[in-house]
Amino acid sequence: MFKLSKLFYSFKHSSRSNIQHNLSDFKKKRRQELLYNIGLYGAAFGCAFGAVPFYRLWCEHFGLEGDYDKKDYSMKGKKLDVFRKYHIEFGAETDPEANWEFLPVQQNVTVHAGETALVFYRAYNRNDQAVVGFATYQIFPEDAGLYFAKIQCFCFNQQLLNPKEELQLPIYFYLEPEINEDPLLKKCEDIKIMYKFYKAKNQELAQLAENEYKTVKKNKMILQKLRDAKKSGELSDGELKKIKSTKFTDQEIEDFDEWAYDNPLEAAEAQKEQQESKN
Amino acid sequence: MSNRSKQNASKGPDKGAFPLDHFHECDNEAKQYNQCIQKHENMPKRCRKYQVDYLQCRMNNGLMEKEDLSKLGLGPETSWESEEQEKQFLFDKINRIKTKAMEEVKKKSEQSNKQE
Repeated sequence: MFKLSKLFYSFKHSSRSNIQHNLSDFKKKRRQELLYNIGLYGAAFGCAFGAVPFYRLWCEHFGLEGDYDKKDYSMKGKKLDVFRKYHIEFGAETDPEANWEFLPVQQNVTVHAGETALVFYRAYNRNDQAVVGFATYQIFPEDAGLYFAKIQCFCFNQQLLNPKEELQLPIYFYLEPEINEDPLLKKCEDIKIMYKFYKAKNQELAQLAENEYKTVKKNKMILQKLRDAKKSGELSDGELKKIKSTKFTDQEIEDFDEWAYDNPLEAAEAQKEQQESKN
Repeated sequence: MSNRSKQNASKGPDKGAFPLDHFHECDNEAKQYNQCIQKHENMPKRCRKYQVDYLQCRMNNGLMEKEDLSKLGLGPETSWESEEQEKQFLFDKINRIKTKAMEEVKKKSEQSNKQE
């Protein structure tokens, strides 16, 4: 009863000013609600962004290490068995197509689990062209492959070797400490790692290197021509353009003496000596 | 066994591939390291100094990401000296236990002699 009378009262007294007042009130309420909603969504968004550093701090606090960017190889929390040594032998195989010399510098190494070690391979490109190679490896016994962790090496990536270039290829690795607890590897003392070097099917890198080398040589030849032309006097624009757009045959590019271009003074001296010796 | 070999599918190195040293900037350090390792029976632990030299040379010439040496596992806890110290400690311990045991054996034999 009382409610009905209230309704009747409000209905009767909803004059024009009253309606306006209610409307502005309504708008205010809706605006409040809108701001509240925006704030809510914004807070949720911000939480999603903030969760990343928060998670990191949380993990650090509770000591739950994860595999993010900067991995720690110092084996801080783990107790390493320093006296159980593994004898690791390194082998190498080459693709006969590639015509490389590929050998390990250290035939074998003695390490214990958890120790970070550096090992070198030596590669020599016997070809006259640059070759792009690709290295993969195999481990014997296979179960030990689980624990062979590489920090950095030269494998799984296309490597370009210039003609007649000899390089030292490093491998930086360690054996995970968990290898000591593996029941299948209880009696394992020797591990063999075999690296195989293939000639990459895609020799684009080598082609790019060759092209780059050729363009550098061509530019030098053009500059040489400019030098010689300027000695005789100032050049007009037309002549400049002509010189810049000269085309050279492959034979001319090969015969060009790059050393003479790079060291003009010494080349001039050498020429003088030659003339004197002729005389 | 076959299950294991599937898990072993070789994955790439953690920090990616080493860029090649085409300008031979770190060749000297590599040579020294190789000579040192030959001397010390192929144990990389005993040539840590040269290993550090080589890695730092690489870092300085932009051939490797710069990183703390302790994070790379090259700190003092895993050095050759600490291993030798631990060896010595364990050896001394064994010696002590042995001398104690010998004394006890002597005592017992004397006792048994006295009884007789």
